Amino acid sequence: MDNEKTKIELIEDADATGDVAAVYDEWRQKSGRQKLPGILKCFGYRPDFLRDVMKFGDTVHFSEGHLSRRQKEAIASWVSWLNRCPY
Amino acid sequence: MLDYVTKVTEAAYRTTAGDVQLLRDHGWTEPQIAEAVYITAMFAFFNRVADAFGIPPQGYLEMNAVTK
Repeated sequence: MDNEKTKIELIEDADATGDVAAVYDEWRQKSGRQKLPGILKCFGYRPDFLRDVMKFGDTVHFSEGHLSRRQKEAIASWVSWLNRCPY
Repeated sequence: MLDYVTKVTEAAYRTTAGDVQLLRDHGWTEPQIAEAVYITAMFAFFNRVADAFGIPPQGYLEMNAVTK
């Protein structure tokens, strides 16, 4: 388990099998990082939906658009504070 | 823009055409306003999932501070 216990159990990097492991690996290859961000592991119970969530994130947020990446991060950080989300 | 995003976050049903006009008056374009709403709603989604699961902060701020 990750060092800090979550309220709802996650499928951790080491515990993932089958399609979950496949989607986690797709993210590792694309990002070049090894440990999945916690938010993505929340969707481990539905790897099909996790793929959509990743695409959703990339398309809308993790890309230049009508707004710049900086503007998007400013909005995301402010909204996350308003929503009391420490993550 | 952050005032508008606050209203969308806390009471989207109370936003008005006047709020949007104010953004235009400050130079924001329609596509930018629309995308600001997408980001705001997207993070409403991610924030609630992260908080409901109880995901701890990932230390990104500390990580960045160390590398600077």
